[in-house]
Amino acid sequence: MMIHYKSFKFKKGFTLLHRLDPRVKFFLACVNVVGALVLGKTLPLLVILASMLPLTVVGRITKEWLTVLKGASVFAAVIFALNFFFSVVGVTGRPLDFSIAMALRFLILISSFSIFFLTTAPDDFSLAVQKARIPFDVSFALTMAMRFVPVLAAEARSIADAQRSRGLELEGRNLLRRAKNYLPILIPLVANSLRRSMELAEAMESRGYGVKKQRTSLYSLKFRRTDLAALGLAVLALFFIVFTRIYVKIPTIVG
Amino acid sequence: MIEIEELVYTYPEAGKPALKDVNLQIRKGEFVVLAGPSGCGKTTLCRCLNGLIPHFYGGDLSGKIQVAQLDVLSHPTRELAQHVGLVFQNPENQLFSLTVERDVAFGLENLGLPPAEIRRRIDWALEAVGIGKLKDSAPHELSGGEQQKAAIACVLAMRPSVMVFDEPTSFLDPASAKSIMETVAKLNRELGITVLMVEHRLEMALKHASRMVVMEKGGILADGDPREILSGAAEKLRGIGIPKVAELHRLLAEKNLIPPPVSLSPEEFSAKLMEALNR
Amino acid sequence: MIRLEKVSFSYLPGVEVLKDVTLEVREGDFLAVMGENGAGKTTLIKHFNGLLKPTQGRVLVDDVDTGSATVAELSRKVGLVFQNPDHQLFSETVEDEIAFALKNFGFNRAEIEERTDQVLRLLSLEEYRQASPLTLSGGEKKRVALASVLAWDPKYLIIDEPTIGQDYEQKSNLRKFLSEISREGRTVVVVTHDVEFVAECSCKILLMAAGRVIASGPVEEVLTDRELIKKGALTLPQLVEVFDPLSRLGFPKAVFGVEEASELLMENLRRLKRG
Ligand SMILES: Nc1ncnc2c1ncn2[C@@H]1O[C@H](COP(=O)(O)OP(=O)(O)O)[C@@H](O)[C@H]1O
Ligand SMILES: Nc1ncnc2c1ncn2[C@@H]1O[C@H](COP(=O)(O)OP(=O)(O)O)[C@@H](O)[C@H]1O
Ligand SMILES: [Mg+2]
Ligand SMILES: [Mg+2]
Repeated sequence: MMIHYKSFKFKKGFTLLHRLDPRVKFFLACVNVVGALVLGKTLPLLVILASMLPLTVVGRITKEWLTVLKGASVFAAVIFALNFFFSVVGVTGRPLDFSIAMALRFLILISSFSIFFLTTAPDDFSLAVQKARIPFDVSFALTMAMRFVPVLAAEARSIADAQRSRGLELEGRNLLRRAKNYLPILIPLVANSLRRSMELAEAMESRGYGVKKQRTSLYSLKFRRTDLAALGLAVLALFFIVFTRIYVKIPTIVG
Repeated sequence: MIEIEELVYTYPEAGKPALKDVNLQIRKGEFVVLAGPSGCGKTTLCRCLNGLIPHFYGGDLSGKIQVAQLDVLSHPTRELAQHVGLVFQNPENQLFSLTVERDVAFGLENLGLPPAEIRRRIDWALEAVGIGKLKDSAPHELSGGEQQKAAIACVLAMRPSVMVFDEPTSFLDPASAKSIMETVAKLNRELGITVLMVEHRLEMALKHASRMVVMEKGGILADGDPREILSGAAEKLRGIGIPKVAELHRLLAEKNLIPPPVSLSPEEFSAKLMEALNR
Repeated sequence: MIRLEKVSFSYLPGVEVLKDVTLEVREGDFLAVMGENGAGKTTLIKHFNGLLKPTQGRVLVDDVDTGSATVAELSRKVGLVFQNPDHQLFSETVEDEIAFALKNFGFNRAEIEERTDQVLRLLSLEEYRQASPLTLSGGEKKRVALASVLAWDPKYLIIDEPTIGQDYEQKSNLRKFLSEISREGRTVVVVTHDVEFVAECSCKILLMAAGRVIASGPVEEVLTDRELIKKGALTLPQLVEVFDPLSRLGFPKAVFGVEEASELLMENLRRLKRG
């Protein structure tokens, strides 16, 4: 796996970024993505990507973020190569700048959401989802999915170990054969997940899930002054992006 | 506290009943250890006590089950949850949140309690099982024993009057198992919670028990004082793994070397041996 | 012989899970690897067939460095049975489950049939031949998992936590079975924290704590040593608790069986009375 699931897994912390309201953080990630989509040139995209660095420093996740970038850069290189190939073959004016921009878009997309998930506890995330009037069942399922990602990953590893110890070879050239060889790993993984979900359902039921129509919540999201400030900045950034898009002629720096 | 009369239960699409004519009365404050070979119906019986059977599992049930004055058949599990707490074998699959605190909160939120009360109960329950410091830890950062204690706290926080444990230590090493048993014994002793515990490690569990129930093939084989039961016929209890000191005591008692009933712990046996010799 | 020379291992940089482990598993050994959860037992045995490679030091299986062989090659000699049978059972029938590894290792059809028959008989699984492994009870699943490894007749049999979730009868059958195949000359390594289970096996113990081997020796030595047991976070066998204080009267400490204990006590009553 080139992009590890850990790139999106919450890393506990109590920094400013961690404590920011998840809705604000989500909005921030969206602003970045919008920026990446509407500004199709290398220079502004580089600026957006660079602007993430201070953010990760505040959240103390720079190392993780760089790992994400490293992992994603392989895909980014592929995107670059494909775009470059097709735009050279085709008629597009400035193939190099355009292809780099496409790769950068991808990096921005991946890393803005990685920053969001790295600093947002799944529980906070589900609170935010709930606030968006999505039913508790759905947001709870989301939390649970996140809680069990590492468990499932460990289980997959253990199953692979068990089957390799029985002579299963996962390497080899023949693609079809290789796919078939993953069955002994997939079947136990699925069977165990079913068993696990049964047990989880039993445990939830035994803890009174659904007994009252009106569930209370230990934590509620409170919009604080820092959240407001961050939101303000994000809105400003959004305006700036739109303004740039409409009124500024962006120079092409390469190609 | 628990009243079971002529309970017969068959899982959906199963050929034969998993429970056959079970009668069991447990009074408030008792600590009952439930033993029996694999597949004899212990887990099935536990599921009956908070209504997972029949409400969740379906199947055919006849007889009467009453727990904490509530008829299990006419109350769904989620209502019974405030009165009967079930702790399962695998700690991992009982914790679904990212922190211990939120996991304990889960049941209390379901009950619709106000946040201040939830917070009070979380602190109380975590202290009661001795993991107050782990409030902000994630389940995967805990050892198996700590996870199981967290699972116990989750149930305890709902203030049930009966707690049912289904092999709570079977994934744990001896030290953690011992600590779990002591925790449960403390809840029984200090809070008066009625305990039913399915357990294979009799040498650890019986020390705390006021009563022992042995099951076999879906029915109850023996029910009474642990010492009395273990002093009786060894043959029919072979499958459950009689603690070795108890077995040793029984052999010596047969030869009239020391008087019955049997001892449950090495210390108790040594003391009784010395006493018998000095007479 | 499986040899570990100064093996250290970390899953994550900076966190050593095995620390400078040196040990030998000789042909014909019956060995119990003991220690509390998290001591590193599973990590240790995953080095035996090359699933894990040491961060430092080396592992030799019959003089072949595990770094220079594939897991499949090594597994042909070193059969690992994992703790959770649900992590390996996937076939439609028990028969197919057992044939899986045999096919991987290139046995021909006649051999596969013969060996399948043999292990099914050996582990009393004949009636389940056509059953789906996923529908079996916990104890039966464990037996199928064991059978599926024994089928290829590995020289070294390594079993991780075979007693977890098993009742008394199942454990004592397993003990008899392992003792039997050990007597017949197979090398057997059992990983467990079940003190009473090991006490009645005549085997050697390797005691681990926090990634180190803190003791190795025969059952009679290790399981009677209060200090060691405490360091390993285990418990003394019940009868040792009884006989330990009696040792000042000349009784042996290492008493593990009930029959033996009662005979000892009865024969020496007089001595006891005087003491
Ligand atoms: N969910 C189920 N569906 C059908 N049969 C079951 C189910 N759970 C258990 N059984 C059967 O019921 C019997 C008793 O099982 P169980 O209560 O789990 O025993 P124990 O807990 O004592 O090991 C067994 O024969 C088992 O196969
Ligand atoms: N895949 C893994 N990644 C990171 N740490 C692990 C992994 N597997 C085990 N560990 C850690 O290594 C230590 C030893 O684990 P393990 O070998 O499973 O112990 P045991 O089998 O004695 O219970 C534990 O602290 C455990 O958390
Ligand atoms: Mg059970
Ligand atoms: Mg292990």
